[in-house]
Amino acid sequence: MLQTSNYSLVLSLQFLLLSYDLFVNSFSELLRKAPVIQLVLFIIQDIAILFNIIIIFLMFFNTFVFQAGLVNLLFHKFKGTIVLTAVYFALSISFHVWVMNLRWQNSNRFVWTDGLHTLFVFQRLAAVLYCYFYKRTAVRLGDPRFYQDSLWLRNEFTQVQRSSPQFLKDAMFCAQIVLCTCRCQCTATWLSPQNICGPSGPMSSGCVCVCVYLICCCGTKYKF
Amino acid sequence: MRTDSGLRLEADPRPPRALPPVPSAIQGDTPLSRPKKKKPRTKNTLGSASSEGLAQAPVHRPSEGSELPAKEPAEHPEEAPIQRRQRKTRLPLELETSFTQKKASNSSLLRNENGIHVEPPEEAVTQKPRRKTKKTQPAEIQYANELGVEDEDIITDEQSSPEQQSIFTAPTGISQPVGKVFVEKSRRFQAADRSELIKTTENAEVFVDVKLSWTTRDVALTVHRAFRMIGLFSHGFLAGCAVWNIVFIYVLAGDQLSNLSNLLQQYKTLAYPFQSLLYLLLALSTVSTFDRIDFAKTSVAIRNFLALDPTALASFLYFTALTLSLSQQMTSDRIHLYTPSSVNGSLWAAGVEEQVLQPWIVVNLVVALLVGLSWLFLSYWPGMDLSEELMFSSDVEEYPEKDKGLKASS
Repeated sequence: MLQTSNYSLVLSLQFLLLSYDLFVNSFSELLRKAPVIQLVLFIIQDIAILFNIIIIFLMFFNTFVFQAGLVNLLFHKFKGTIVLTAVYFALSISFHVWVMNLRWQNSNRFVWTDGLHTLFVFQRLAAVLYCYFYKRTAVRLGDPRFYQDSLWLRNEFTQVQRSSPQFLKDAMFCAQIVLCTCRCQCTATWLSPQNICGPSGPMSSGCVCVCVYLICCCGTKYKF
Repeated sequence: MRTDSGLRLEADPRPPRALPPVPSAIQGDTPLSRPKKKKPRTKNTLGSASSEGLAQAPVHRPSEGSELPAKEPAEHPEEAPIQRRQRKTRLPLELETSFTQKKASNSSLLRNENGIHVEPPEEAVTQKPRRKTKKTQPAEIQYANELGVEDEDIITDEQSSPEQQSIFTAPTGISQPVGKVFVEKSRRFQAADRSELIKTTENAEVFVDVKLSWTTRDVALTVHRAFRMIGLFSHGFLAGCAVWNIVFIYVLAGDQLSNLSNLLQQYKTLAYPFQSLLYLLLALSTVSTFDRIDFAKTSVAIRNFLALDPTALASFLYFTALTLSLSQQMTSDRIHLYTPSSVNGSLWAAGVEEQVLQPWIVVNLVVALLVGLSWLFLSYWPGMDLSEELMFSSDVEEYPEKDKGLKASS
């Protein structure tokens, strides 16, 4: 069970890092007297995002849901946060590298191009969304239900299992078969007894074995 | 029979004190020394001691009258009623505090603490008031008292007792006050300091109280509400700032934007700080409105937006304003780096000013309008917060009975 004091401490740290992120996004353009200042600010900002990612994952690992092995449920519930945080982190690093590269010689010059401006807009918009989703997740993880077994949890797990449809899994399975078959066809003609039996044929025996195995699996599954 | 049983309960565990034929010298000494040390304890731990004594009085008197030796009232005629009263008040305390005594008469006393009455029906009358006091006492005080030592538990007058003891009575042994409690840990009794043990139990109780009163959910809710307050402030501040900014720009630009060079010269120091402040406030306001409509639950957010819910509209307007404001970052930096066209390497060639500034002014005007409208929409229903309702209330109350059922079954 999550202790209140521990949770308060972690939440404070997360909000501190979020505040720093917001501050740098807002005022980094003003603090560009020397390129080093901006460089340090950007590095700390990226580290702060990374720390936030580590903290949120540690919080995930601490939940009963994760410890019970229901990672899928956890991912389903917080996939927005995970994806958005990753996207924002990538956008931030890209923008920081680009801007610092342009401003390193002279920090007080006009460096904007259309590409940089577009990246800037997307990075700042992602920052707002990241802030919202991250804050929401951090607050939601304070819910004691994530740290104990309950019928609610079981119900949620059933819903998640239902929402990921079977045809999607089947489609993935078929895609694997098709991909494997195509690869085999690139190097050989169609399956022939010589190729299958002969180890020195153009198609490698390992590839043939995998292909036959997948087709057999598919046959048993779909009754053909 | 009824009167005997009450006294036997008190006397059984400690034979030397309660046996009737004990000489009056000893009997008279021990009760006299007790009240000095007992009085404050009875006041503290037993709040209803006096009333209890009054309640017990009619029940116990006959028993004491019959059992106690007749010499006692003769020797101390005035002290006798006082002693009786003190004994009556002491009776429940002895049951709680005497550690060894409990072991001897564990069955009846423990059951009393648990509120289960298993004694014969004829004792019911004498036990009734005792049970009442047990219920009124908090459990933690009882446990803390169990660790205390009473002087009466320790027999110090060993010089006089061997003389008066008959040959056939079993030797009572000499007990000494030791500041240790022997606690069983991993199948072995280990000595622990009594005062420390009391402290740790009290601390644990305090901690349990705090834990019960302040959960992680409460922390999360407090933080959420605090952020909502910050958001509420930022909505108003942003609206005011945006309106002030656009008024300032139009005043500096003059009639029909005729004095743009003046605007550039005056506004260039202010352009970037205001852009930064605008982003900060817009970000806070957008996050706050997203919180209000619970933007993460897309279906709810879209439904609210299609139903023209003011808060959903406000969040959309804020996000639009944010995008528009960010799109002017390049122009703001250009204004920030303004130098007259005559200066070498100027970004502002002659005649470009109006082309660049006109859309910038229009966008700023639109941002100010959007922000102002959002503020008006939000002020229409300032208390709305779907996040709080959905995250902290409905989900919890969704399966409360089922949860209870599960807990009961497990």
